[in-house]
Amino acid sequence: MLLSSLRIIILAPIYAAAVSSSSFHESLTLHPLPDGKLSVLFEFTTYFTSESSSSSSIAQSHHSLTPPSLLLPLEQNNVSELTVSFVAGRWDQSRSSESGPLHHESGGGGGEVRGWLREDEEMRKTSSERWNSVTHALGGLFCAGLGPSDEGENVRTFGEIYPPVIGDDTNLTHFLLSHPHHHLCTENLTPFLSLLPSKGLSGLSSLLAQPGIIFSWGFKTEGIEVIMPSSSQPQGRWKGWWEGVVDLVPERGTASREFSIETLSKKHVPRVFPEAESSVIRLIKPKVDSDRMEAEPAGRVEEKWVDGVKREVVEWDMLDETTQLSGKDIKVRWNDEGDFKYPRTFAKAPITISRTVVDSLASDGTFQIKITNNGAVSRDAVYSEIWPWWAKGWMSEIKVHIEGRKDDPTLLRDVEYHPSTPPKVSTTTLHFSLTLPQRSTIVLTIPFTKLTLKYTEHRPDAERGVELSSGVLTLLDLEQNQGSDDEARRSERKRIYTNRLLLDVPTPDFSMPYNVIIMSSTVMAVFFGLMQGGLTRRWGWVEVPKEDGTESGNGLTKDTMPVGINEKEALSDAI
Amino acid sequence: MLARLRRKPAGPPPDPKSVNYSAEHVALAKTIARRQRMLNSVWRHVPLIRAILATVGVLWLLALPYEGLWKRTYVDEHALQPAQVTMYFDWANVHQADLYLDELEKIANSSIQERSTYLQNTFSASGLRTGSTPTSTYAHVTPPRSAGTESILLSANWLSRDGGPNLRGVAMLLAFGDFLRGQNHWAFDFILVVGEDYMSGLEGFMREYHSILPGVIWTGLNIDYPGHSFSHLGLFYEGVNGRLPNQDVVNTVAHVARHSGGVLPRYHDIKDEPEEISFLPFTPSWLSSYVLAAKHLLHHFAYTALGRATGAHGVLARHRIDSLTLYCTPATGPHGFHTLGRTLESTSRSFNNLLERLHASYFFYLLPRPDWFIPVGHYLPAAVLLGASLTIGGFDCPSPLGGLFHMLPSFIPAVIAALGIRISSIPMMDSILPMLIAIGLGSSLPVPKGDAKKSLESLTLLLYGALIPTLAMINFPQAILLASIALLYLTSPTWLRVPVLGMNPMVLVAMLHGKGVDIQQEWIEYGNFAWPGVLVVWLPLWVTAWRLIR
Repeated sequence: MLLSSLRIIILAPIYAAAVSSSSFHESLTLHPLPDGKLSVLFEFTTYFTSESSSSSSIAQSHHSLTPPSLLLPLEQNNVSELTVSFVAGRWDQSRSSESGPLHHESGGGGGEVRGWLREDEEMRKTSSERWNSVTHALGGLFCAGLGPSDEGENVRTFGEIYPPVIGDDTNLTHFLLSHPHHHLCTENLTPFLSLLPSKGLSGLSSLLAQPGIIFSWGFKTEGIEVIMPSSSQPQGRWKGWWEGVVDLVPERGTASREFSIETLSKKHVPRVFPEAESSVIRLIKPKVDSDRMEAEPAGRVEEKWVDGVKREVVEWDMLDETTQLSGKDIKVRWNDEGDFKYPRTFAKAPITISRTVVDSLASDGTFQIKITNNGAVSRDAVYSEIWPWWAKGWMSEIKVHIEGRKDDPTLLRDVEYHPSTPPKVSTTTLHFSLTLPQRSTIVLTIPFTKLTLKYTEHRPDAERGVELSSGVLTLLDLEQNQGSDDEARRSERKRIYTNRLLLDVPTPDFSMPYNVIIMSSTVMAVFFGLMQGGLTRRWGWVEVPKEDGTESGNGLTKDTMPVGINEKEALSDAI
Repeated sequence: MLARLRRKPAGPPPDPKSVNYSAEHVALAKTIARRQRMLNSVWRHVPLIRAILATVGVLWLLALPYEGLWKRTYVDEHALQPAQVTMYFDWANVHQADLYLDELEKIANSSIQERSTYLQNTFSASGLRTGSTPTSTYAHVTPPRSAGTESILLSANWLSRDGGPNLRGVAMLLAFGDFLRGQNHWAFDFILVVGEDYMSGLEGFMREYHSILPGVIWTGLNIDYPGHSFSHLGLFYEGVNGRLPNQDVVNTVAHVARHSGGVLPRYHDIKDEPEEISFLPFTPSWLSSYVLAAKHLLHHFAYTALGRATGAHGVLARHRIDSLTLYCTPATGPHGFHTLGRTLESTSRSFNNLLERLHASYFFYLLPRPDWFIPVGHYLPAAVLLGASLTIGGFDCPSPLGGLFHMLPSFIPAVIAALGIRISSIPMMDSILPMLIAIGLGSSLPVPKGDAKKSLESLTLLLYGALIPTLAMINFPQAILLASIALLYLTSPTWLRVPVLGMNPMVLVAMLHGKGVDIQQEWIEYGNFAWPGVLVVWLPLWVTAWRLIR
């Protein structure tokens, strides 16, 4: 009693400060997919405000809701907004009936950092120096090597693809760094959890703090999105997400696909994190079979627009005193289903996109990008690519056509081309403004050549090939307006990513330099020996008997020929 | 000191009045004279040297089946770790395969659409993405933790190499697809392909693959299971144009078959048991092994000398996929789906370990018997010696330009064929036309005389002498074939040369066609370079040789 009251007295000012300036919200969203899988999304959002009283606007103590290790580098480098995203595995557009994961901010394959930096005249450093130091700091934080290995890897032409969330882009510079080869792994989860105020110990994050379970899931994405407070907008926000796809059908044999929090995470619904302002578990009912689906205990049902479709969403409020969910389980099942049978066909995702390399040769290839609009209306979009410097596109050979028809140049409204500057490390970026006609597939083909890499420019695993960043399709005509009658546009999914691509690069025989060294050393030695012999010898005439074996003598023909005589030996002979 | 030793048998004393006024002059004169004598002697004995080189080359070839030239196989890529994993393929999966087999037997004779529909429904019921091309049905296994950037290809085609249906192979593939779904220890995607016919379905699939799926395929296995059960697993590894898979693939499969599957591997379907040789009064102990190895090498030469693949895996070689065919040698027992499934699983697990493509310099080898190989350094000299024997004969070329002038017309049939002049309405015209032109040219072109004739012969020797060792690097058996032809056409005695030249290459090709080997069709379908090789290399040689002997 005494102890607890003492704690209140000691911690009171901090509690007060925390409550007044910051708030923490967490949610877990479950979304069953038609092929017996389940998309699971954890979201942790913290709102915080800048405090003008202290010298720094960010709390530097470790007992606040905001993580100083994340926010201080951003503030130091005058970052306005920043997103870090890791993606492992691939999102299967053809069998999930969705264009991408539930969380819209997760990027393409691999690791990605993007953000806006404020221009600031007081700052001594240039924006790219500040960007380097902030990416290196975050790379250290996430154990991921997020910083650029060379200045030229920074991409600065994606500002329109990723516009700022708050305000417009005046006095802001956009940076993007893509690491397509990066793989999301356990090392990236631990730092993520440590940034959360609940640290993976209580609340929904305790379900997440089980790497053995969550890393056996399929497609996985982890990331953070930070919006820093500014003078005009004193409230900042940072949000962390983790999404994975769970296979509900067991590895061997057949079974029902019913699931519960316990079967997913081997834990009951955890107790609530005491500082959470809201803590919600949601279930988005699937597009098909939703009427047969039943959840226990029943939650609050409401209708929401998710990615162009009106969906029923069941919600359980963990803070609700009446239900007392913690320590219990939430079960979901399909009535009268029995063993799950895979459907033969799947509803199509609104928009699907794939990228392959056709006509693949050691030195050349052609990117073939197929974008299918399954919706009932034509869409406007920008398709963007980032290439390393050694991929050289044949811009005049780019073609666009609707599958099964002739080339149609009107589909390609505009191309924005930022070529690389070889041999410096740099990137080529391309933005294609496209029209996607309804219910058709457009095919964009870009022939390219692989320029020769220097011996030292190959990656250590050169024979594997090099991964290219995912292409991004940005939809320009989304409508948040609920009154709009065009359903496909009523979505918050602004961007759709292509699959990753592994490109074979022509590799030298890496042991060849040693052969070359041996060969050229031999040639040098022989050359030097000859030259030295030629220069140090005395030249004179020698009479050679004709080839008949007889001794030279009078009356026989003789050849005289110039030969080198070793000066030294001649001298010694003379002596 | 060496210089002093060399000079020891001093010649005549130096004469102060002559050019050679010192002892050193005399010694040098002697050295130079000796050098000249040696060179002249070499020039005089060129035919003998050529004969020696050719003889040593042939002897070297004959020595290849001898164990002294072999090495024990080993797995070079450490990541492969063959037969080191716990396997999960079990009797439940075998039962599944039996169920599939029952259904396949019912539809074995139906149309391609019906069969493809069945396959797609079956793959789809196993939770796999599936589709079809005009000549094949495929499924795409996407293990949860695979990034989809690298893939392993497994295939089973409707026809076996025996000519019968490969139903058990297809059933195995279906069961394996069902087995793979949901397993989360794979880092690679799997592409499962059931092709029409024996080879053409898979070739058709590979032509379309790159616009269907993005993953890069590194390794592949093709299943050929014609019988009811099998006794041995025959490995057919030769690809189109003599391209071999990285030897690690062969060694891994052999090792896995033996230790995980429990079945003895063979190369092709040759028994790996030396036969007792009793017809000689005294037989050395190595002779039976020698005969067995020679049999292996001859089988290998028979396919690769003509650039032919030994199985459907052969069409993958062109796409840089290291692969081979697992041929289940028909027998009454004891092995079946269980052995094959476990071999497939364990091999795939090894392939799954790869972080890079197989890239060790392990692509050039001959396989005389299971567990043994002949490294490139031990067999290549045979071709180099044969090539050198030709090249040396070409050094004496009095008038290169004149020789070239006479040589070029020999290539007219090749040029005509290359220009694609085809008269397709008349059967076999593609072969007959170049033959007629070649015969016409061979008999009508003026026969050069004197220096020009010598130069024509020398240039031809130089050209083919350079070609043989070069070709030997990529297709050793083909190089040996070419070397034999060139030696017969250009250097053999007249009594032998006339009957040999009497057989026009196109006649030989037509005879092959009669035996069921259509190299022209293989060129069109699979890119086998034997057909253009006949037109561009062999036919001109025949024309030249014909003119030289007239």
